[in-house]
Amino acid sequence: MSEILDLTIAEARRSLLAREVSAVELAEATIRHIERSDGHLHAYATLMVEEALASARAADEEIGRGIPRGPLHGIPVGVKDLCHVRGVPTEAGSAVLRGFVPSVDATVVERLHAGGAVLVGKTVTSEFAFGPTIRPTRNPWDLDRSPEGSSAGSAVAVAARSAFATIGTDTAGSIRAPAGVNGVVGLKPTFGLVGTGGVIPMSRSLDHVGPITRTVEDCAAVLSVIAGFDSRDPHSLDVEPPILDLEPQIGLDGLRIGIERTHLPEPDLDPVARDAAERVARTLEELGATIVEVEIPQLELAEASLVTIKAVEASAYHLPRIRRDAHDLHQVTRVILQAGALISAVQYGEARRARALITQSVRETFQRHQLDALLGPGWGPAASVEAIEQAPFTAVPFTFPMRPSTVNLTGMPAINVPCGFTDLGLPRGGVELWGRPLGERTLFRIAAAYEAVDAWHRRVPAIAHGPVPEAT
Amino acid sequence: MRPEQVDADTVAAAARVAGIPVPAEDLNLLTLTMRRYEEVVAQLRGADLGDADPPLTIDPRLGW
Repeated sequence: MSEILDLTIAEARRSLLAREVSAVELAEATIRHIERSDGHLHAYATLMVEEALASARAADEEIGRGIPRGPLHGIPVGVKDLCHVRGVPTEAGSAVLRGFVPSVDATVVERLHAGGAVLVGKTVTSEFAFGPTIRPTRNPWDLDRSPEGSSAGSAVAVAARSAFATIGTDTAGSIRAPAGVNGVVGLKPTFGLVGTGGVIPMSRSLDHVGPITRTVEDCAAVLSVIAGFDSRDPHSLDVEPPILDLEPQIGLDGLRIGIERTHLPEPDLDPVARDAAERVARTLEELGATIVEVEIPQLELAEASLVTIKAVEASAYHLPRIRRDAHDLHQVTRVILQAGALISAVQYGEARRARALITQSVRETFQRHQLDALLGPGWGPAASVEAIEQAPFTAVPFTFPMRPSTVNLTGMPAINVPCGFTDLGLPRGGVELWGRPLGERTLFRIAAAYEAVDAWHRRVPAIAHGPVPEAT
Repeated sequence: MRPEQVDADTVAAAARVAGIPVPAEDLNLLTLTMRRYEEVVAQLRGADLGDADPPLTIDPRLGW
């Protein structure tokens, strides 16, 4: 792998502006690296070689003429294969959409284009973001480990240096979980801050579009490009995007960060994840933050509320496919959609009432304790693919774990930040920070301060540098 | 419905009412999935939701 692929976006941007490297060199190095490694990782569903090189040449020409387009100008990025890119297939991991080529860009893609980003490809998603991952995407830290879902391709591409940043979607943790187990940064922004126009939905009231990057600073850079009002998204917030330039603040003096040890951790949470959150809490305290113990009992209702809303809304959207294209759906996807159609309107109403109650409780907790953020455990280390395949299959899992997905119900922003490695060399699954609505800037400040101390983002999986290892 | 009351006949009947085709090869897995769903939502059924009422539009800023 070329060393330039190890640069952060901020570093690459400085090199581009100083003409030490060209956008074409970045794009060519990225494409060569994908072609070398992706036969093992399967992070990409579609490569966009010609389009990427044309965008890179245009970026070089504009940079040469002093026309700035922002922090992603000339930077290779990937987008999840749920987001439409005009003239490029959107197949959403499903045989149902095989060969479908959209004629318009998703709003997030329009914004990436406007920002001068170089799109190198579409990243793998599980079928419509909730079925199984048909293409066998693998974790770059250990090819025998799961990359999680559904934005698996996006997280793997960033971790393996096959993109500087990617776009994922998060309906119940699908940006943050793969970011966690692949050792990169994932942000679920405030609901409505990043438009969902032109993105195949799962559950319109829970869906979020957001960035996956290697550093917190890069995450802020991508968000600054993709955030903003989207007339195609009925839930879009008509607000100015938050100011996201990170000030060089190392200390966290004056910030109050809650920790919920009773109801937020799943009952069967991996001890590695629990321990990681406790370690990060101590670090944040050493950086000057005040750690506040809080309790939010209503978090225990999150699973029932989220499962119901997600399944019903997904089934409502995909109903024609259940009736017309059922044979082309994977059985797991098909059964989830069938199940959503059998949930009663009363159950859906109850789930929405529970959602209101959970949102109110989280909000009141923030207000009562004057919190700037809430710290919670991440997702634990990646499971082995073999263990997943051999697990007794007694029911289709709707989604798990659920409590980190509370933020999909409340709409508040949440970021997953790398927090170290296990003795086996696997990422610990990251830790989660939740913020107040439109509180991304505070989350970035906390996450960046932590990142500056522990610097886990500097560790690179072997597959990015050395010979491609074989999965067993 | 309690989880143990969910069986293949009930699920098949509910699917017919909902107008959802369920191929024979899916019925067992769908039944198990609905049973699991009923286990999950049992917690919701027993919860005191008070006067919580969902908003008609979702704006995460409301109330903050």
